Amino acid sequence: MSEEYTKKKSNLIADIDYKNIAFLKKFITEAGKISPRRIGGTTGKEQRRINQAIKIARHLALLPFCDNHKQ
Amino acid sequence: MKNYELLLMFNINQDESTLKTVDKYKDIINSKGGAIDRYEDWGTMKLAYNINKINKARYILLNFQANNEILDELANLIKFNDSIMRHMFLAQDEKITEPSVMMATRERA
Repeated sequence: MSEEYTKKKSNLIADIDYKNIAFLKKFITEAGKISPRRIGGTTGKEQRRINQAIKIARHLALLPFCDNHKQ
Repeated sequence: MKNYELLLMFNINQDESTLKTVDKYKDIINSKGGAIDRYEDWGTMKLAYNINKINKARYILLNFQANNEILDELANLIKFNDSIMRHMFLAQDEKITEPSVMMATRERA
């Protein structure tokens, strides 16, 4: 019979911070867009907080909005 | 008194006044009954995109305890300071004194 499947508990909440740029970069695409949950594999709670952190970081020019900003 | 975090982005073309401005803000917080928990100078960093044709800024991070009176005064001063390009006030649940991720990675490098 099939083995019992238990989802691994993800534990990202403590790392989510607008200052943690290297961590947030895992959750944006090459074009700078926010990845959907199915790509990042985050829970709903994590995804909401990651979205908020990315948007704060963009306002402070720590992350880009898109990949064709004029340089 | 509540805990707040403030990130300031200074124009590096007017760098002489940066530390003077930050000291003034610290004095305002301390003199009105607040307290500074954390002060960090991230130095000059490249921006992810240009703001008004400028591609570099100096970042200053402040964590402090304050009331509404202090916040209003700071917000007003920041609004009329031309050398501050952007800023962000954030409310925090508890007071933070350890160095931030940005500083921790910087020291290792």
